[in-house]
Formats: sequence, structure tokens, C-alpha cells
Amino acid sequence: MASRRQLLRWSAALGAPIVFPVPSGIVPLALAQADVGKPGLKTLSGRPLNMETPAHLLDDEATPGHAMFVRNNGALPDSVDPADWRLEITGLVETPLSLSIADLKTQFEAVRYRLQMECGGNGRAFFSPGASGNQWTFGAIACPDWTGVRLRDVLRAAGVKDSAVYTGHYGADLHLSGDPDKPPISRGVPIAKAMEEHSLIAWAMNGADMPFVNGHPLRLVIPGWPGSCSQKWLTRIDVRGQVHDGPKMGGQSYRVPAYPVAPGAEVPDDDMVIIESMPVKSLITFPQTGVRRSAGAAFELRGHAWAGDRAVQAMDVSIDFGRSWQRADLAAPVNRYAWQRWRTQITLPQAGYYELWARAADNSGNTQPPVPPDWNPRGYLNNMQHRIAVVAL
Amino acid sequence: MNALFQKPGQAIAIALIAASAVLLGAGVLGAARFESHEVKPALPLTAAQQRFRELSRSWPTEPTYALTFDARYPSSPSLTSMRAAFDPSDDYSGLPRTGAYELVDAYCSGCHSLQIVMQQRASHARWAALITWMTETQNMPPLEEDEAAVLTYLAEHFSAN
Repeated sequence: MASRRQLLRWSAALGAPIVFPVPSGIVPLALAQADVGKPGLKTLSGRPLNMETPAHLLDDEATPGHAMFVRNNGALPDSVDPADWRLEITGLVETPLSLSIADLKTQFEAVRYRLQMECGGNGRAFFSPGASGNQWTFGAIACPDWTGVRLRDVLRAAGVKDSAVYTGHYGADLHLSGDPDKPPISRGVPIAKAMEEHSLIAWAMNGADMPFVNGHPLRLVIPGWPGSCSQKWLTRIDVRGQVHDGPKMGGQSYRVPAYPVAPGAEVPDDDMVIIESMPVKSLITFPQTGVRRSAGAAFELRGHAWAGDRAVQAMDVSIDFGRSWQRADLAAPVNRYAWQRWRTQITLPQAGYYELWARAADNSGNTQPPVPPDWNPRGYLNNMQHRIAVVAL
Repeated sequence: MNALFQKPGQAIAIALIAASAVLLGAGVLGAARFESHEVKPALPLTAAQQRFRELSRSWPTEPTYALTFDARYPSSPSLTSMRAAFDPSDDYSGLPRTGAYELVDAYCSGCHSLQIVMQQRASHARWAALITWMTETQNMPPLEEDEAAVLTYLAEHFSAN
């Protein structure tokens, strides 16, 4: 017999009481943890499923599906059928639309862009005092090639009214309590962001189906802004006449203080503002932290850098805890909102312990601090420098 | 706080940081660390080179973020890797066995895995606000007379500092 404790757990998770005793060893199918095809990622939480990518698995130019981080506020949809999928466009539009994925593919121009997506809470683990939420370190960032249609083309087909100010996004994921009427998360963006050339309704990643846990068969990609703007398993876009007020839009979710606050401060909700662009940031993706290298011999150090709505202008690395910096080669993005490849040759002068630090600068004069900046109650927007440990022999 | 450090994982993490800080205690712990990245020596090593290799075996494979940010509070584990570890094979997922661990397991694991509880770094006030948010808006059953014990447990083991 299952214990009372297991029954309580299952009952709550399934949203309905289990009235019959469950035979020992049988786990309700809905709770079975599937292999989600993400080898090497660190699971921060099984339910809701949250997984972070170690930096060295992000070395590809375009992030493969198996390496993309997973962020969920709710439970995965029970099942998805691309052939039956519908996307509704509702709210302040002249003509509400109900589109199949085939409609999207045939009625609008398909485009493919490499677009960064980063969780707003990436880096939360380093804030002190700590902030509640998933304790992401560096790995809640990905930059795959996305294929889809421009969100603006679809919104224009529906005819956005002049009174529209914001979008509200809805997906097929489920509230953790099992309540079917409760969206686990519904965020949105200002109409101007939705109308940008690179804001997509995407059905493919790197030319193939995207992983189910990353939103297959349809998701939004709103590049440069917190990933929560890019609703997964997208079912509806509601055009609003006010700033969207769905779950995780208000209070302290995805919002930061309007002014600098002391670490640990209680900040009133009214003084919090919605996060828009993510900050300038970079990763060392090769080599992996912990390697040994020969003293006096040059080796390549490389990674990616990105800057939300802006572009990265310069990239520097340090082998001496930031006392001195050397300039790295920095490639242009393949398109706006793609991360930028940087690389340089490093020589460690003598045997010893080194930390290699990376620091990007954007085209607005912002760079990355060595410590977490701008403490905020929920631990967002930490763009501190990434480092790896290397021993020279 | 002492109970926290009885976990083997924490003992190892603390031992490793102590080793890197004061260059002590290489031994068995250190031997496992850099092995997969060994550089094969091309020539016979000098005594000094051999000494350096032995010394460096205990050095960290991760950068020293914890040392940097815990300088003022050297005994306070601020990184999740140094806290009570989630253990899926354990009946109570690795919850420290003090106080209200059974209540925490029963109330929290109905909706989400205990892994999400155990990685939190939240103050008592923040834990209280989270419970209120969950009961008022997320369909959590009210804790009523259990709330004080649950909050005490959460704030003690999964605190902001």
C-alpha cells in the first residue's frame, strides 16, 4: 500500500482526491518523470521542471535543443498535437483570429533568426542575502536558431486597434495545483516590442521540432527580454488596452526596484518596475572550468557575449583577478539579438592556480561588474563576470 | 546551524574551501578533483614540479565565488551546493531530520518537488509571504496550527544568509 504521505502528495498533484488505495509500486502515470533528452544539464527542480546548462555545454554557435535550459512555472501540458494546435488572437483587434500551425506556415512569411533567450533570474544564486526562486548560476541562457513567423505580421492580420498598449500571452501548461482554470504564468510585452522585426511565433529550433519541454509545437520568442515573455505551448495572444495583469506580471515577479536599494530591503510593490531588456553579459564556454594547461603555452579561450536589446561592443579577459585585462576578438552578431562569438589566445606565465575572467561591454557604455550588481528582492538581472578555474602545470 | 554541517556533502564542500584557502588537507578529497583533466608530463618531473603537482591536486575546479562573497561571514553557506542536499532516494528527499520535516514534506510536495524548497534562500518574512501567496492564490490548503512549525523549519534550514 502506498503511504498516507504519498497519497496526499499524489492527490494534490493530480488536482483530485485519489479515493482508492493505490497498490504499492504503482505510480500514477501523470507523475512519472520522463527523460527529457537534456544530458549534462543540472535539474534545479523536478516539478516544476527547471534545468540549467553548464557553461561548457553552451559552446555551439547555435545552442542545440539538448543543451537549452528549461524553465517552468507550471506543469508540462499533458499532451500536445501539432496537427490540432490552435493559436487565438483576441482582445483589441479588428478581427479575432484562430490559426492552425499550417495556417501560420502558409499565410505568413517564415523567417529564421538566431535569438538569445535568457531567464530573468539567471545568476540569482549569487545574490546576498539570498532571493527566493530557482537558484540559477550562469546557465539559464540559450541562443538557438528559431524558425517561425513575425508576431507583428499576425497581429497586423488581426488588425491591432489604436487603443492597444500591451500583449498578454497564454500557454497550455498547467497550474501545479491541477486547477484547470488557473494559468501558471501569463506575461506580455508592450505593443512596440511585439511589433519588432525579431519577435517571433516559432515552431522550429535549429531547423527541427523544438524539444517538448522548450515549448513544442509553438512558442513565442521575444529576444533580449526575460524568457518569461516568450510563452511556451502558445495558445492565445490577447491584445490589451492596459499593461497586462496576468500571473507573474505584478507584485515583485519579473520586476525590480525603481531606485537602488540596500541588500535585504523590503521594497513596496508600487516601487517595482517591469524588467525589459536583459543586461550585457558573457560566458566562457571553452575550456571547461577545472582544466589543466601547460604553463607558457598559448591556448584558446572562447565564449559568447550578448546584451539584451543592445549589441556587444568589446570583450576583455583577465588572468589575474581583474588587475589587468586583455582584449579578445569579437565577432558581429549573425543577426540582431544573436549572441556574439568571442575568442582569444591565453598564456599562463608560470605554474599555478588561475581564474580566467570574462567581461563584455555593450554599445551604451555598460560593462559587467565582478560582483552581483543592484541587489533586488527576487534576484533578477545579475550580470556579474563569469570565471573559470585553471591550473597551469 | 551545526546540524547543517553534519551532511557529508557540506563537510566536503567546506573542507575543499578550507583546503584551498589555507593549502591544507589535500589527501583523498583532493585526489579526485583534477584527474579527468591531467596533463601528461613530457619529461621526468623535478622535485619542485612534483611538489607543485601534489599541492595543486586539492585546488578547486570551480572559481572561488564562495570565498569572495562569504568573506564577512565565513561560516555561512550562501551557495546552494553547500546546503542540505536534495536526495531523491531518501524518504524525505534529504530534508534535515529536525523539527517539522514531516509537515514540510506533506504540505509542500503535493504541488511541487522538495528540490524547489531546498534550494531557496529566504528570510522568515519571505517564507511567510510565500506560504500566504500559496494559500491565497495557488490553491494550497491552509496550514493553520501547523504554520508556525513549518515556518520555523524553513527559515532555519533554507535561510537567506
